Amino acid sequence: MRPFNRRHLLKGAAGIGLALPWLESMAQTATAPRRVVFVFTANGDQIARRFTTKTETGFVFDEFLAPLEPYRQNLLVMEGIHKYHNRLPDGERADGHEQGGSALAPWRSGAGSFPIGGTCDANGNNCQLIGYVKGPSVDKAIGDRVVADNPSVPQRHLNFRVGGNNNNIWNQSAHAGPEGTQAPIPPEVNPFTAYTRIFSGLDFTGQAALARRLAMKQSALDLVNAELNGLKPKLGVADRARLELHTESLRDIERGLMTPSGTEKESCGPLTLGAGFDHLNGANFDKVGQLFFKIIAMSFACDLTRSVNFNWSGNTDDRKYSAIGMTEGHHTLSHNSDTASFDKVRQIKKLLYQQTTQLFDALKALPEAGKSLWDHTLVVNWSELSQGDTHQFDNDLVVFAGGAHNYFRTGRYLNFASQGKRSFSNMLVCVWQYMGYSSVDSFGDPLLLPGGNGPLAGLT
Amino acid sequence: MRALQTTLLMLCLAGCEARIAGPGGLTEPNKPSLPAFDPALPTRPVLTLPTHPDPMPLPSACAPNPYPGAAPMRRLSHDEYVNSLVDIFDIPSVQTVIRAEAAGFVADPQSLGFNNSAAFLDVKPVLAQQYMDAAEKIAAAAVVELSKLLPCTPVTGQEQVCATQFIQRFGKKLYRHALTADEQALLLAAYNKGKTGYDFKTGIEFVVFAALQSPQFMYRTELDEPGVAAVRIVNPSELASRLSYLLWQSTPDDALLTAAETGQLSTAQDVELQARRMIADPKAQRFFNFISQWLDLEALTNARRDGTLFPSWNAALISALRAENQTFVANVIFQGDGKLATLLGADFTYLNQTLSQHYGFGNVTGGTLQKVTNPVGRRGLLMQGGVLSVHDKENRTSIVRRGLAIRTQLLCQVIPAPPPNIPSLGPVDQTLSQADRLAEHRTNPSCATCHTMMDPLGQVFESIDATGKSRTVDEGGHVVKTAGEVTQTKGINGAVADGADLVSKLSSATEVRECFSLQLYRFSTGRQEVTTDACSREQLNARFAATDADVRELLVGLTQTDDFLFRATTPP
Repeated sequence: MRPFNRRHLLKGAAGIGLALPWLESMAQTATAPRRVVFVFTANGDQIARRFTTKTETGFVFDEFLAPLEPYRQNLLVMEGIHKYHNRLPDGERADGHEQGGSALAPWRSGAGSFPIGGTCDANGNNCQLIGYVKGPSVDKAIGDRVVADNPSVPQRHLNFRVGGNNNNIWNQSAHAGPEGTQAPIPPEVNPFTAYTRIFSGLDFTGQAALARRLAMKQSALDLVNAELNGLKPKLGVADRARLELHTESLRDIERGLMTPSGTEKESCGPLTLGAGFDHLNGANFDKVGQLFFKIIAMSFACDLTRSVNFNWSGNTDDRKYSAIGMTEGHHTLSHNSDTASFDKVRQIKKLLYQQTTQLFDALKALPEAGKSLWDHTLVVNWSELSQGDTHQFDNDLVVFAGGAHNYFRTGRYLNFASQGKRSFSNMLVCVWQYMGYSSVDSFGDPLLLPGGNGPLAGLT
Repeated sequence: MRALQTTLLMLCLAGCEARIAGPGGLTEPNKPSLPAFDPALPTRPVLTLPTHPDPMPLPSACAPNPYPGAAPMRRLSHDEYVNSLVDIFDIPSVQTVIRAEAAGFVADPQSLGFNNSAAFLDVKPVLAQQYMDAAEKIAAAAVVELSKLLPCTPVTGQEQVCATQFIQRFGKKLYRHALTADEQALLLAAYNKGKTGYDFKTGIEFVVFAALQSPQFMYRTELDEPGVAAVRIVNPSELASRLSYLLWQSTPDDALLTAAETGQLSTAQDVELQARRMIADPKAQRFFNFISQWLDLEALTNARRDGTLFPSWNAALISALRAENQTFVANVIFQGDGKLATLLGADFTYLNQTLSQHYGFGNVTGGTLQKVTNPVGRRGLLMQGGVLSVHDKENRTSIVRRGLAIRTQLLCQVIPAPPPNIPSLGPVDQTLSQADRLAEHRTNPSCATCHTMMDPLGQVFESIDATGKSRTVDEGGHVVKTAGEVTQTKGINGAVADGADLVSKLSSATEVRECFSLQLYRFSTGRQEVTTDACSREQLNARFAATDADVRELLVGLTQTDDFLFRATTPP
C-alpha cells in the first residue's frame, strides 16, 4: 500500500505563506491509540437462545452468535445488562425502541417533536409530544475528550448508518449535547461521500492544486469566522449558542486542514471503494456496511478519529432481508412471540453478526506496531432492546470485541442479572475507562445508575 | 372572527400616524403603518394548550398589543439552500452542480414531521465540511464562463472595479440585503487573495466560495438592538426574507428587495400585496414541499416492493405516482378553487398512461398527466397511490401505519407510548386477514389503548393495495372489508363505510382544518406552537374558516399574523 505523503503536499502550501506551525509536532507517539467502535443492530434478539452453555470460559454460542466463535479469545460476552428507562419520569421517557435506540446517550427525553410516544394525563388528555434525548452520546463525548487531548486528530467521531435518508427519533443514536439540550447528530449514510469528506485533502496528487485549494479554504474560513464573530454579539443567547457550534465546526475543519494525519502511519493509504451503487437501496445494505468498515479501519490507521458510532439500521428497523428468504420486515417479525417468528429473528441477527465480523477482519488486516488495529480497538455490539416481542430492556446482550490493548480479560461470558451495578450506563463507564479516562465513573442521568456509579465489575 | 376584525382594525388604523424606524429610516408618511408595542397596554392572555384529544383551544379574544411568538434565527434548510442558489445562479450547468451537491448533504433531523426545524438546523462539523465541499464545486462551475456571471468586463490593471461591482451585486442577492462596508471588505479580501496569488478568475472563484459559506447567507437573522422593547415591528428587509422563504422557500427576488429598500414593504397591506403577487408566481408551487413533508411523501422515492407480489413497482411508476401528487396539488391549490376540501376530497386526479394502466381507470395515453374523474370509492389526495403506499410494507398494506397517519397528520393528535414491558402475545392465527389479526391484538389491553386510535382508521383503505391499486381481495386472499370507525374526535365520531367516506368526513371537519392550519404554521415558523402563539393562530384559523378553508388565503393569512409582522425581541 502506497502511503499518503502529506508532508510533500504541504510544501506547496508553505510556499504561498500559510502558517504551518504543526510541522514541528509531527513526531509520532510510540504507543498505538485507543479506539472504540459502537455497532448497533435493531430490535433485540431472543434471550433464551443466546447460549447453550453459560459458564465463564466454557460458554457455548447458540445459533445466532455462532459467527463470533472464531474471535472468542478477544470477546467479552455480557448479558443481564439493564437500561432502566422505566425509572425516567413520565413525559421524559420515550418508548423502549426510541429511548433504547438512544442508549449511547443515556439521558431523559425532551419534548416537542414526535406524535408517537410521550405521555398523557390520567384521562388521556394533555399529551406531550416526545422529543430527542437531552445530552451527548458516549461516542461524541469521548470524541470531544480525545480531540481536546490530541489536537492532531481531526474528527471527533464518525457517525454512520446503513440505509434511510430521513433522520428522526427512531434512527439517530448520536447526540451532541451538552446536557439539557436536544441535539441529534444526523449520521452519514453514503459511504462514497463520507470517504471523500473524511479523507478530503489526502487524495490530491498535484502539489500546486493542493496549495491553491488550501489558500482558498483558509481565505473562506477567515471570512466566515469574521462574519460569525461579528454576528454573535448581536444575537440572543440561544441563537448565539448555535453560532458557537458553527465556530467549533470550523475549528474542526481547520484542524483537519492543518494536521499531518497519516503521513507516517504505517498502514495509512488511499482506499478503493469500487463502483458506485444506490446506498439507500435496502438490498445493498451489506455492501454499504462493508464500505463503512473499510473507511472506519482506514480512519483509525490514519488516526483521523478514535471514536465511531456505526449503525446497521435505525432502531425499530423494518428492513426486509430478502436475501435470506424473509418475507416480512425485521421489526414486524420481532413483534411476534411464536416459534416461527423467533426463528427468523435469529436468522437476521446471525446475518448481522456475520456481517459485523467483516469489521473485525478489516481491523485485523491493517498492521500497527507489530500487531494490528484489531489489537488496539474495542468494538461494542449493542441493541435498543433485549427482546422484541416483549419490548423489554432489562436483559441486554452486549458483546465487547477486539484486542483492546489487552485492557479487558477476554474470552469470557459474564451475567450481570443478579448484580447491583448492571446498567447500560455502567457498561459505558467501562468504555470511558478503557479509552484512558479512568476518572470517569458515571455517564448519563443518575436515575439510570440505580446500582451506583462505576464500571461493571470483573471485566478487567 | 370578532377578534380578527379587531386586530385588523388595530393594524390598519391605530398605526396610521406612526412612522417606521427601520434601518435606513425609510418612512412613508401617507401610508398606514404598523402600531408599536405599548408596554402600558395589557398583553394577550397566556393559555395552556393541551394537544389531545382537543388539540388547540384558542382564546376568545386578543388583547390590544401585538403578541408574537418566538422567531429564532433559522439556518437554511437543504431545500431552501438549493432554491436560493438556483434562483440566484441563472446558469443551468451551475444549477445542476448545486442540486447534485446538496443531494449529498447529511439530512437534517426531523421534528414535528418537518425537516426545517429552527432548533435542529445548526452547522455541525460534518455539514460544515459538506458546505465547504459543495461551495468548492459550485464556485468552480460558476467561473467556467465568467461573462455569464459578471455584470461587467474587467479592464486590465483595474480588475478590482469589476470585482467590486460583482461583489456588491452578488453579495446583495446572496446575503439578502445591501452589503455593509465590513461585509464588502471581507469579500474583497477573499478576492485579493485569489487575484494576488493567482489571477482575476481565481479571485472571483474565491469570492463565490467564501460567500457561499458565510453565515450571512446560511442563516436568516433578525437582529435586535440592546435595550429594545419586548416586541418590535419586523423591518422591511426582514419582511422581504420572511415572505420569500414562506411562499417560495427561497431568497427574495429583485422586486421584493426593491420594495423593501423603497418603503413599499412597510404596512400589512404592502405585505399582503406582495404575498398575492408571489402566490401567483410559479415559484409558489414549491408549496408542494410542505405537503410532501407533512404526508411523508419523501419516503416514496426509496420505497421498495416485493418484486414477485408487485412486479409493476419500479422507478418509473414511483416517479409517476409522485408526479400525480405534485400535479394534483398544484392544480387544486394554484389553478383550481384552492380549497382544503377539494385537496382532500376531490373526485378527480391527474394521470398519464403509466398511472392509468397501473390504476386501471382513466384510459389516458402518453406521458402527459391529464385530469381524470376518480372511480367510486377513491377520493382526493389521501387515497392517491403515492400517498397511501408510503405507509405500507414491502409485501402488504399496513393498516396500523395508514391509520396512524390520519390520527397524527390530519387530526394532529398524539399516540401515547406503549408501556415499558408488554406481556408476550399469544400465538396469532396467521390465516386471518390483517384487520382480523389486529382485532385480536386489540383484545390485549396494553395494545388496545393505542391501537384503537389507529386500526379502525387504517382499515377503511384496505380496498387499495400497497402500490395504490384498487382491489377486492387482500394479499391473503380474504375479501376486503372497508368498514371502520372514527373515534376520539371533536366532531366526526361514528362509523365509516370506506376510505372515500372517511375522506369526505375529514375534508369538511373543523378540527381537520385547524390541524392543517397548525401544520402549516409549524412548517412556516420552523418550531412547535407555544402559548404566546395563541392569538396568531386564532387570526389564522378565523381567516381560513371565513374563506371556506381556501389554502391560498391561509398562505396570505400567515403573512398577516402578529407572528409575521412583529418580532418578540431577543437582544444580546
